[in-house]
Amino acid sequence: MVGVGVVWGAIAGVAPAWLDRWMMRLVDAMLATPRLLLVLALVAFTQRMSATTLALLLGFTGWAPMSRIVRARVRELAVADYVAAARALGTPKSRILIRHILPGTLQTVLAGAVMAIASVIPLEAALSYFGAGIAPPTPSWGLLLLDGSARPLDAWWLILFPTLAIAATLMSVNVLGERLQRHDTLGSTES
Amino acid sequence: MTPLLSVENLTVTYARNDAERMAVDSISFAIEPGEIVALVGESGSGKTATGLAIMGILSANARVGPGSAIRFEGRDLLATPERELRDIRGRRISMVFQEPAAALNPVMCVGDQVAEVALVHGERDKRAARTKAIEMLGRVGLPDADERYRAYPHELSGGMRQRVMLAIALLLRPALVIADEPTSALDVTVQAQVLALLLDLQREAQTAVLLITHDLGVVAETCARALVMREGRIVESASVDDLFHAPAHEYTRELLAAMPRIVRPA
Repeated sequence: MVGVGVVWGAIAGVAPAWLDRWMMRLVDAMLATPRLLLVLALVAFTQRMSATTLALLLGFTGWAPMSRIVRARVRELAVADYVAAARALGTPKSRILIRHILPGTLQTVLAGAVMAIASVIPLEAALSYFGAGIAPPTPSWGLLLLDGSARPLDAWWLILFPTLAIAATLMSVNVLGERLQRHDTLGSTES
Repeated sequence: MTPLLSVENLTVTYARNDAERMAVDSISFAIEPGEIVALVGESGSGKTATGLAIMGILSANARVGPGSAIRFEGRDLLATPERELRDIRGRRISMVFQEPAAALNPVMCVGDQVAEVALVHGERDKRAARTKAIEMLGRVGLPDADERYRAYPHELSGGMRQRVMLAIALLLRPALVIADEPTSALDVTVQAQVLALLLDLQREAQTAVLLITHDLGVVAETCARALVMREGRIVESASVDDLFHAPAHEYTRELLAAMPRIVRPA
């Protein structure tokens, strides 16, 4: 998910205006579709869900925000002085992108990736809760909730603890993501 | 002798909000091999646009006017395809930028940035490029060059960064260096050192230098000839001696008069 997003965003960032416009329209379309519905629709086509296929599915539907972030950062870096300097040295475009621009997006990508994790965890839980996620023998917080929800009063702990676990994980991941965003030393353009 | 570089009728316009603004207005000049020429003028007079146009790295909203020609080593750079230009840039013509802090990649160690020039221009052996870079860093006066190779730009002082820029620009001994305000961002004491270094390297490699500056003190110390630019035009082209002792153009006189004189209080 990160990979597709980065590549897509980086290409759009340096592409000629018309191509950039089309690539970003596609991203807009992805963003406009409710992700849960999209995933559910795709799940309907798969026979038996393993952790890997589910991860791929989630990734395939979630690269759009990342590509947007990367494109913005690439655009910003493309006019940096050191990119002009690299051009002045006769560096080919592809090499400038790989050696000079992409490393500068690292911090943004890291922060974005952590945020993406934060969005995927509840999505997976929701899918499993609907019974559309990972198949039963493999444990998942969403599945635990599904099991417990049959008898909320007799066994409240079956619901409470998976919920707490999900909430705690989300909170810590969010904190991590925000820290990464604020920590503005990696790849910053100011001197 | 044919000049190394001859700029003929160069016009550069920038488009902004549908309006075209002329930055360089049909200027012509020539530079002989090994010569140091100053391009002087106030901010916005078109000095930098001229430099960028010669390098062929003007920004996307800039356009070079029809009828312009930039001849370098016998060919018109404006008519040369991008592929061949890439080969010329960095190898035959290179550029030193004003802000070394911004012109060096902040996430790449300085040694690799020097070695990069060699790698881009056909050096296949990474170790050879590295050795070359270290040697060059030593030549520009970076102490402990082989240790500093791994340093990142933010770990170096402004003067050291500009020395690294010089190492990058002069590694392949180009025939022409365009130095765009190479010392303006530096402290006065460091300015003198960097300038002296540039002259040293220039003499050794017999490189021609187009020194873009607004600092007439720098011009007096380094150049034999100066071009004075104002509002996109060259208003005066003269030897530095004439320029300082018998300025022909009104604007040049104004520029000279605008230089602060340091008078010791009685």
